[in-house]
Amino acid sequence: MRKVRFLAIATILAVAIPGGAQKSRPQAQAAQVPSPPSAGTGGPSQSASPYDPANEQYRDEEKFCSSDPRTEVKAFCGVLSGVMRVSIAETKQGKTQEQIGSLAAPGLDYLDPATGKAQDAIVDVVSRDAIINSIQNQSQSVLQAANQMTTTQQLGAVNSAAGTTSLVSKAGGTAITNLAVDSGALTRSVSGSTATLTANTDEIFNLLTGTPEYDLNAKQGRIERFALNPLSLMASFSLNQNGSSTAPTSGQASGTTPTPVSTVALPSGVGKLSSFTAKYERPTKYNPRSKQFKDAWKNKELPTLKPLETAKVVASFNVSTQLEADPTYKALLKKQKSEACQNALLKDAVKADSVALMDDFEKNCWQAELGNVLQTISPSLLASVNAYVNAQSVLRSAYKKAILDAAGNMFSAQYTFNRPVNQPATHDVTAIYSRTFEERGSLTFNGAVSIYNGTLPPGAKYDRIHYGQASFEYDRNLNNPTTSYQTQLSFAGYWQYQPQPSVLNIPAGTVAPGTTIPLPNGTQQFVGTAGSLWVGQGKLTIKGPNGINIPLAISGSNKTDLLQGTKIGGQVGLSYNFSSLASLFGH
Amino acid sequence: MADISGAVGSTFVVSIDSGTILQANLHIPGGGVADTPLPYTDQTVTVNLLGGLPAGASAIRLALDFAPGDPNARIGVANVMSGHAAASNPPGIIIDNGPGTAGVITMWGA
Repeated sequence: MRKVRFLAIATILAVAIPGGAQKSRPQAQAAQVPSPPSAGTGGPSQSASPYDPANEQYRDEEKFCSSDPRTEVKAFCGVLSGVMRVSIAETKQGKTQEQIGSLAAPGLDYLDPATGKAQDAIVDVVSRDAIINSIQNQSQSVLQAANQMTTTQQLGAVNSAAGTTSLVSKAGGTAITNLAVDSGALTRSVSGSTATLTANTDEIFNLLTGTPEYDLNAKQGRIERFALNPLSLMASFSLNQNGSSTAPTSGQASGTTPTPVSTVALPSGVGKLSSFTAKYERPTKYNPRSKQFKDAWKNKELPTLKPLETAKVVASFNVSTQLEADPTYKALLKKQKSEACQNALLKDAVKADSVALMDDFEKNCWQAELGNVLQTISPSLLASVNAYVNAQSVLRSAYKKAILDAAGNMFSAQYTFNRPVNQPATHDVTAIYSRTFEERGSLTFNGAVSIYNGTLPPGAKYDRIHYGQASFEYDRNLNNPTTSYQTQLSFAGYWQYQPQPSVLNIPAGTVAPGTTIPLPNGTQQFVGTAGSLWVGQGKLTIKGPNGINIPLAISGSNKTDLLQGTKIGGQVGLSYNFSSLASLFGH
Repeated sequence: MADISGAVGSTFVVSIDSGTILQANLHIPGGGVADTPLPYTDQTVTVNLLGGLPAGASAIRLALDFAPGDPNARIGVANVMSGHAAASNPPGIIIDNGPGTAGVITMWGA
């Protein structure tokens, strides 16, 4: 079935894409000695390389191996399909198996571990397969390290919560799962404590579907890239929001004097959901071929990445050197070729038998050459692999950041359903813009509008709009990136304008001040003043290893939402980045 | 098939046409000796140390930066200073594996 599908796709491509697969032949023949490099621009002919992983037109052809459960088959899928592609095209041209073997040699060499050409792929597969548990632990801890370095990630409650340390909403959602407890209000008059649980929807999807998390080399599909990965959800619970409900009594339990009590108030409502937030990060768009991006990459990002890239490659070669200690593999390396491997692959490719191609790669190439060394992992190989995975993961997070820097800016949109204590619920919509300046920190700007939820009560003397606000925050890491603890310094400014004073709900049964008369029906009262609310905040966030963050802040404001007069306040929090949502559920 | 074949002791310049070289070392597979640094520029490596091209199998281990959108690199011989060296036909490739690609150029000295 797979074979038939591949042939059909290849035939369609050969007809539908002029010069598609066939282009490789004249290019290859003309390139006995490639001309000297032309300033790194490559050249138009290079896009026709049958092994180019970035070539979108080959994606469909790779389906025969891209979902194969064998890690090594999946890792070499691009080149397996490239060899098949060359073979099908040249067979149509009437070439013999020997001629096809010569033309497909670069691909066959890559698929043969004995040549050592597939350095990265071999080391990746060894790392992922042979000691997968170790790899998972390492990659997750490094993800936490990546989170530790970023200054654009929202971890705690939004600024309108009764307990929060964040005056400005950040553009970045959480990459993993985060639990934060914050104490101290910024714009609210009533301080409290808030617990906030944040999770990325891609991770929730992985949990529900049982998909392995944090595959370091996973290619993301469109749904993951544009829907799940950019979306994070955040729920905040007020920890000390006491409420009460009334219950009828059933008689006096003690005492000699009758005391008629018909109802009592029971405490309730602790841990109430105070807000729910959804944040969508616009996927970063950039044109890698633009001069602006190329210049930014070469002049600004490459010098920063170079030591990390070199460290990763050195770690990769160290793994290879450990593999070379195996006598079987060593003997093949000295010959630079395994006839059994390459002949079997060529035969399968000429027959366009994709199933046999994958099976022979697994049996005659991978297992025959590396099976021995992978059966028992030596401690030195394990140590090399761990070092490699760490280096690779650090590089990946730095690389993503470099792309963001080279590409420019980051936009997010955020929606919050807010349920403050004794105040009407609101819908808050925030636009967030972030710009990073590498080691000089990052700037975040917010623009938001808050509107009241539901239908306004009859006779309401206020409009639908609760307030509008604009704010900014500057963040910068103070320590050297290599230190285990990071201290982030932040300064933030916030301006909020309310057309009317704040509205306070007075629930039914509340006793009127100075009396014992309960109010029969609920009512609403204006409290505080309309106009501008200004807040300034200075904050230090201590970011420890293993995902623990402790924000400590001090703020000053000209008033709060319900009270007039300046207020100086402190905020403190504690948050923890769980390495994975699945680990919380014992997966 | 080695990416570059030549006479033992030849000295020459190897070129790639994509990516940026960050480090280059001469490696003898299974030889048990430390890799030897080779002089390099952004896209060339000069094999002129340790008496030029070693006998039998050897390799140039490269640390490479492939910027986003860069194609695979093709391997060639840009200049032969002494002896004889030639690139394979079709030329060997180094597949763009993103940042920090570990590239290997295989050589055979006869």
